[in-house]
Parts: sequence; C-alpha cells; structure tokens
Amino acid sequence: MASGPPGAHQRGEVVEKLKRWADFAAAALFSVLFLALVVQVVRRFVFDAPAAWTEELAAIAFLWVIFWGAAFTLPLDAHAAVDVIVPRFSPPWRRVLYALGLAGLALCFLWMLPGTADYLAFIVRERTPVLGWPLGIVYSVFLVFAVMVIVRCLAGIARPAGREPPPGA
Amino acid sequence: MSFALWAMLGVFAGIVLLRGPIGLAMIAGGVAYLGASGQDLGLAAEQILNSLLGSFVLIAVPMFIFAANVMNSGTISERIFAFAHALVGRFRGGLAQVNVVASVIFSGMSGSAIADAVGPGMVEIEVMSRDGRYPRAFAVAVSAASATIGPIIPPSIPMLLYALVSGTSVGALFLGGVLPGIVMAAAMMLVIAWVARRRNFPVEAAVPWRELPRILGHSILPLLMPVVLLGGIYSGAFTATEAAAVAALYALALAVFVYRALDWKGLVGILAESTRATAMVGIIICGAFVFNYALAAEQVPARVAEWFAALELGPLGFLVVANLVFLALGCLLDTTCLLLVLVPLLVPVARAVGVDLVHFGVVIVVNMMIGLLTPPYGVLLFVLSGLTGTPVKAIVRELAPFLLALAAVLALLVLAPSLVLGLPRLAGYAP
Repeated sequence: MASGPPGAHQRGEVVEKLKRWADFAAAALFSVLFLALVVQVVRRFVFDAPAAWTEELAAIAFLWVIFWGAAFTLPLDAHAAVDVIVPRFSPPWRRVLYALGLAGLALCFLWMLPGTADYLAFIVRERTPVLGWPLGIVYSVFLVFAVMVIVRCLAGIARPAGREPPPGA
Repeated sequence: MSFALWAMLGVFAGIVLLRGPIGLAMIAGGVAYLGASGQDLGLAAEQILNSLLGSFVLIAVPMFIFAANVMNSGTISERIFAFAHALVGRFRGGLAQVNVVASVIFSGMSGSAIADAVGPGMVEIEVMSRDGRYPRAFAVAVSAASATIGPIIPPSIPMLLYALVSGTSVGALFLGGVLPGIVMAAAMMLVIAWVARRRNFPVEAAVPWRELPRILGHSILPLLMPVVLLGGIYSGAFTATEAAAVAALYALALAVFVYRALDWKGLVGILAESTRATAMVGIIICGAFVFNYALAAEQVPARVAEWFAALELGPLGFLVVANLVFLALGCLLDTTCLLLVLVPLLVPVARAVGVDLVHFGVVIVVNMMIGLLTPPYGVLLFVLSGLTGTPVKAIVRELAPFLLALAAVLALLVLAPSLVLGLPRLAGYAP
C-alpha cells in the first residue's frame, strides 16, 4: 500500500503474524476436538474401557473451535450473508448501508456485554461435571468472541473507501 | 405477536438486508428480544453456551467438515473422477455424466454440498471446460446441481441438524437418504442425456472395460468409506459423532499413509480451514438457539400448530404446504437457519397429522438442497460463481432443467414415502 501512512507496512506485518498465530491456535483446538473423539473410540473398542472425560473434552473443544474460530480466523465478509438490496446502490451508498448494518450489529453486541460478563461471574464457581474445570473459564471464550465482533464491526465501518467486500462473496 | 418479538425480527431483518452476517444478526436479534422484553441480557450467552455443551450430536458436524477437507486436499477427488470416467465417460455428454456419478461417490464421504462443489465439483468444471468442450456455465451448473446429492446420500450435515431438532434417529435418516440420492442422480443424468443430444455435446474415448478392475483398485479405499460409516452407525457400534470421527480418521490415514498426498504444513492448513468452516456454521447454530428460546417463550410453536390444525390438512396436504413454504423460504434464507428455527415449528404438526418424521426429514432436506440453487440466496451459486468467475445469471439459465428435475424428484418423494422409508424399514426402523 504505497499511499498508506508511515508505519502501515509494519502494522500490516504484525497483523499477518497475529493471523498466522490465530490460525495455528485454531488448528491446535481442532486437533484436541478430533483427538478426544479418536481416544473415545479407541478406548471403547480396543480397551473396552470408555471414559466420560473424552466426551466432555470434545464438547469443550467444540465450543472453543466455534468462538475462537469466529473471533480470530473468520473475517466478517466470510460469514454467510444475503446480497439482495445493497448491490442495487452506487458504491458510496453501498458503503454507508453496509456500515449501518455493522453499526446495528456492534450496538447489539455491546448491549449484551455487561449481562454476559455478569453471567460468567455468576457461574465462576461452577465446574464441568467430569473434568471439574471452572465453567467461567470454559465459557469465557464467548466474551472474547463478543468483543471481537464489536472490534471487527468497527474496523469494517472505518475501512478505507474502495475496499468494500466484493458483491456475492 | 409481542413488541419484543417484532423487535427481534426487525433487528435481524435490518442487519441481514444491509448485508450483515446472518448468524451474528440472529444473535443480535435475540439480544434485542431480551432487551425489549425486559429480561436479563446474560440469557443469550447462557442459552447458547449450555445448548452447545449439551448437544453432543452436533460435534459430528466439524468431523464431517474435516473429513471432506482432507479428501479434497489429497488425490481422492481425482481417483473418484477416474473411476466415474471409466463407467460413464463413453456416453454423449460423457463428462457431464461423469460429474454426476463422481458426486454420488463423493456423497458417500461428505455431508456437505459446498464441500462437494469446491472439491470434485471444481475438478470437473476444469476438465469439462478445457479446450471449450462444454460451455463453462453449463459445466458450473452441472457441478452445482450434482453437489446437492452430497447431503442426501449419507453422511449428511443437514440431516444431523434435523435429527437434533426432531429427535429422530440419525441412522434411520441417513439410510432414508440413500435411494432418494440415487433417484436425484438418475434424474440429472436423464436431463444431461437430453441436453447433450440436443446441443450435440462431445463423446469421450471409451475407457476399455478390461481397464476397470485396475481403476477400481485405485479408488476402492475411498469407496469403502460409506460402508465403514453406515456399518458403524447401524450395527450400534458408534454414535453418529464417533462415526464421523472414524470417517475423518480414515480419510486422514488414506491421505497421509496410503496416497502420501498430505504433509505437515498441509495438515495445519486443513485444520485451520476446518475451524473456520465450523465457526461459520456454529455461529448460525448459536443464533438459532437464541431465536428458538424467544419463539418458545412467546409460544410461537403452539400457535403454528393451532394454525395448521385449523387448515385440517391430511398428511399429503400438510407435506405439500410445508414444501411450498420451504421452497419459497429457501430462496431467501440460509439452510441451517431454516432447519434449526422453522423446521422445529412444523415437526409437532407433522407428527400430529400422521407424517412419518424420517420421511418428513429427508423430504425437507431435499427441499433445502433446491434452495441452495435458487437465487437470490443460493449458496452454491455464490460459491461456484465466485470460484469460476461465471455470472450467477448464466449459471441459473443452465440450471433451469436441473431445477425442474429436482422439483419432480421432490414431488415423487412426497407421494411415495416408501422410497425414503424402504431401506430404514429393512434395517429395522419402526417409528
């Protein structure tokens, strides 16, 4: 980006590096999910000794895969979306309409944050039935996800002109 | 309808129409509902998190996504293509027929139409449009149409979602999809035979029959996957989730040890990509949990049931109305969202009018697959148009005869429940 402000290049590099790490963490979480299920099958069929913890670990990993994945590896444009009305407008209007939708989204998620934090604080002493992990920590990834949705919406609204998502993406 | 429910639908529709992400818009709508009805906003998180942690069957979804991604990364798509080519390449419009047969085979390993379209579907588009043998839009249309077989022949992600909301057996639904999937393939192959003759599409050099055992040998291991999967579920050895993990393990073993088509870096990429795809579906599932909480609190399911009861429909009438409604909604809404929010409203009605729930499930999933092909919101159109640079309009024009064929199959499935229920009954299914 030749027209970017000084430092934009380095900032881009940092973002790329962070993205790579987020992908790596996502791959690790997915591996935990997969391996927990593999261990479950092996224990049951090879050793005839099923364990309850594998199912719980898989369920927790599933939760983290969804919210970690949505928070750090899934750009807003990559979500399923309907492109019916916005493409009928001229590019400057498209930008405004898209930004309005994101603003509504960000407001709702912002509205949800205090209640969500209260809920997590409320269940902080509860533990998962088998592994005994604190539920407040297991569920905390949801709060991270909600915050990241707001950040991504704001970034989408502030996106420089000419970088709208391609229609029908 | 209460003000809070209007607030939910208004916020959801507003964000979606402004091109916001569907799943996140559903969660936002749920927040608006809780706020407008004066409830604790922490309920959204509570509903989503507790429901996710308690739905073990949903964990099969990422496993099927992972298995399909592994298959697509290795040389498995090419092997299936070679086998299908040896079988039906010799007919007029042969490559288009190969496209359908390869989709049928791939369906036995993948539970997602999109995985079928971006994997074997793209391979076939490349081969078909090489040297301008077929018009590109026609090639894309065949890949899009045949990809809809993916979730009908087991495994199937949409059927898993249906099993979750209807309480029907995953095994019965999976078996129930086998014959309908084959009928869909046959219908499409008839369309291709007709179009090929009319437009004089090319014939491929026939692969000699004596070559067939060798080609079969090259593709026999991937072909065995459905046997492992269905055998495991039906013998009661695995739950659907465990079977999905075994399927993924099998695909991984093939790609890494047998075909040596996957290295460490490739594997990390596939895992990250599977996380992304899981998150995309997962967020819509989360949105559905919040929506369903609001709909239940407002007693919408009971009202829908009353409304249908007042129509005094028989089983056939109910199926016709339900299918027309979902065909219309399928043009506008996302399949996951429809399956998890609107289908549960009709399940008790179906039971009340005496429609078998496995029959209803398979018919509705076939209906939703047509929805993947119909504009303005047809995911397969978007994905393939994006990947091939073919305009959606051109694809839709070539799709028209296939859409008619699929609609005819849907009508046939509605009229002939035994086409769906025959195999599950043979395996001991009794509602």
